[in-house]
Parts: sequence; C-alpha cells; structure tokens
Amino acid sequence: MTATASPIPPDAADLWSSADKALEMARIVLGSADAPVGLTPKQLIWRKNKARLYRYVRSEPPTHQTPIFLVLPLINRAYILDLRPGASFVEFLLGQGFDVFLIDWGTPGDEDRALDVTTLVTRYLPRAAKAIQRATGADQMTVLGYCIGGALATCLAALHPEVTRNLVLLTAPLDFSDAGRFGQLTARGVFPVDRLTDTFPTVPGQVPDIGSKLLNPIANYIGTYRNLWNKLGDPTFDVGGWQAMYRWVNDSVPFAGAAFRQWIVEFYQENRLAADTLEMDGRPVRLADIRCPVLNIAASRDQIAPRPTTSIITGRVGSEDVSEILVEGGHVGIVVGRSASQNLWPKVGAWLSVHD
Amino acid sequence: MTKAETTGQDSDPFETWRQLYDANERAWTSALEQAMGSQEFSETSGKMLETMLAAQKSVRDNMRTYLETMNVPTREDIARLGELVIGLEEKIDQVGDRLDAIEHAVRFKPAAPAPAAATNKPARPTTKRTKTARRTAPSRAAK
Repeated sequence: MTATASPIPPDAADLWSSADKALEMARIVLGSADAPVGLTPKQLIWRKNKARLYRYVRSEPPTHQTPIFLVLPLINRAYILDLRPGASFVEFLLGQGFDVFLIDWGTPGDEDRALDVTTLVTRYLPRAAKAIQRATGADQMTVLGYCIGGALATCLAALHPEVTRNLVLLTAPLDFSDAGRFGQLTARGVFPVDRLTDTFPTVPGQVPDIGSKLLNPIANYIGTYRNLWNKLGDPTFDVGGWQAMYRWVNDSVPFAGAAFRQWIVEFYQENRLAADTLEMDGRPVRLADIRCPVLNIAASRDQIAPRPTTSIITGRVGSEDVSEILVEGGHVGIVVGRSASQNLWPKVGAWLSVHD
Repeated sequence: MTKAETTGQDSDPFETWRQLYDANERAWTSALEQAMGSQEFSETSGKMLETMLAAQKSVRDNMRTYLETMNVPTREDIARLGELVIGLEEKIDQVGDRLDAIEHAVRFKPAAPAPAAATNKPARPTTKRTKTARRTAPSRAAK
C-alpha cells in the first residue's frame, strides 16, 4: 500500500490570522451603522414638514458678515458635510469665522408624494433663507449647494437674487446634454419613471443608490471590502473614519415621488435648466439671471456628476465674477477626506473671505 | 522558497480571494464598463425594472384591497392624513408670509410729508370714527 500525495496543508497560524481579519472586517462593517457622525453642535432654527434648518453653534461671534447657507442633496443624508471631527467641512467653516446654516431635507414619507423640486425651491428655500435673515440680521447670504442641492441652490439664486450674495456649487450637475451613464440609464423610453412614481409614493433610496453603484460596480461592491481588508492591521488606519464614510454611502434616503419625477424628466431628459426652459411657479429660471459671484467646484473623475454636467455654469451666468476649481477626484472624495481638508477647503475659505 | 510556497498559504480562502480580485479587477471592470455602457444594457435594465414594478404594484393593489375589505386603514389613508397636515402647515406659512410683508411695509413706509402728518392717524381709530359718524348721523338729522 502506497501513501497518496496530499497538498501541503496551510499554515494554521496564517489561516487563523486571516479568519481573525475576516471577523474584524465584519465587526467594522456591521458596526458602521452606529458610527458617530454629524457631531458639531447645532441649533434648530426653522422647520417645515420634514425639512430642518440648523445653525451651527459658535463659541465666539462670527468674524465674517455673510452667513453661509448649505443646501444638501435630496438623496443623501446631510451629515456628509459634517462627517466627523477633523473631517468636517462645517467644522472648517466655523473655524474660519463663518456663521453656518444647513438645511436637512429629512426623510420623506408617503404623504410627500406630491412634493416636487419646484415646491422645495419656491416654498422651502426662500423661507429658510428668511429664517437665516432673521437669525443673523444679514440681508444676503452665500448659498452653497452640493450635488442635487447645487441645482436647487442655482434655481434659488436665479429666482431670488435679493438673498444670494454668492453662489458656491460643489459637483452640481446642471447640464444634462451629456450626462454620462446616468443619462443613458434615465433616458426617455428607457427608464420607466412614470411607472416607478405611480408604484412608489416615495422612490426607495436603493434605486438611486444602486444606480450610483452600478457606475463602477466592481470598485463599489467588491473594491470597498478589498481595500478594507488591506488596511486591517495597519496602525495608521482610521477605523472611525472608514465607518463614518461607509455609513453615509449606505444610508440612502427615499426620494419624494413628484420630486424624483421632475428631476428625471425636467432636468435629465428635457435638460430644461440648461435650455432656459425651466419654469417654477410660472417664473422662468434662467442662469443668466444669476448676477452674484459664483464659485464652481468640480471633480475630474466624477461619475455621478460628470464634467460635462458641471461645466456649463461658468459660461452661462450673468455674473462677471465667476471662478472654478477643478479637483482631481470623485464625487464624494473631493468633499471629505484628507485631500479635501488640505487642498480644497482652504481654497474655498479664501474665496469666501474675499467675497464676504 | 517563500513562506507561501512552503506552507501552502494559497489555500487560505481569504488570501485567495484577495489575490483573485487583484489579478482580475481591471479586466472585470473593463468588461463590465463595456457591457453596461451599451444602449442594450440600458434598455434591458429599464425593462427589468418595469417588470419588477408591475409585480410590486400588483402586490400593493392586492394588499390595499384586502385591508379595505377588513376595514383597516391603508398606508394611503394614513398618508392622506399627513397630506392634510402638510397642507395646513403650508397655509400657516402663507399667513406668516403675509404678516411678514405687512410688517416690512409698515417698518419701511416712507415718512409722510409734514402737513399730512397731523391727519395721518392709525387706520383703526379712523374706521371707528367713521362708524360712529354714520351711526350718529341719523340721530343728529332727527334732532
């Protein structure tokens, strides 16, 4: 009888080490749902339906006279701009001496099925702006919009120039004539937007979330965990930061049905904002009506708001004071992360100080 | 010989998974990008979504019918109540807007010219006086 050749067994220590890493990875991923985020103290100063306007608490009076009004996207949680201490754009602005306000759209329910983008721009934002005026005594403010919030901020600036001293756009898609893969997926005749909004009073957050992740599925569905695996055991790995970011990426918000339909049909499919055919409450929304200073911040590798969608503003607004910062990075990376805090935020702070 | 070769570390499933990913990531990404960037993919995904939505709608409609038969409020009934509250809040906001406009108009009302200042009394007393005058006029006439 002869012994059959068997493969060399794995080193038990290595295998257990890998198993430990896998358990550690699971602990980090599962624990991210409770990662502390949005910790900068804030005060509620206005509310309407689910929307909340917060004023961030300052220990000393602001050194700049123009308050900053942050307008967040409808499909993500607002804490992205105040992710965690040390990685918070809000914290940076406070440190620069600004009075900072943020509108959090909250989580729409079935009762918000008729809430559309027009209502948000004409009924919510102007009233929030008025609340800021009351709180600060300032007539005008810097309106800073991120992603879809940037499109809303642009509409506000066009319709209400009296309250907008400056307009700052962070990766804001405004021209959908070449909207990349998102444009393809949401094209007329391809995307069943009517059936979707007929079926769901609020479009589940997973729908836009899956759409975003499908733009780069390997990196989003596998690469995230592979990168985490590589970082395990690294003493410099910021676990809390990874968890906060992971929480935000997976913490999607439902989209009110009418707002989703208007966003897809009037913005993506008909490109009304860029074509100057967008109307809100019977009033035309024209980019040329924006005469305040504008700062447009775009990301070179942005797949959610590709470069062609973000570049229109510089040549179409009525303002003569238009600046642009093109950052190397993706849609979210340019707002948070080490590169943002070291490169982008100081540039934005300097621009805001000059335009105070 | 490396440690992996001597110990057969390649049979560690976690390490194998990582190596597999590293070796194929670019190829997979490129292949998927090509496949998903096509018009056909967009059309097919749209049709898939439409089919799923049709099924979802059917489930929702059946559930609503069932709950209505059982005399149990549906999600739509509760949402309708919420819509009423939201509508009421909007009306209150509109009243607030009007009050703001009035307050603004009063605060920034241009100063009246000097001769008219004496007769520029608040509206309420003027109205009262007018009413009084109207009321008292017939009695005066009777006298």
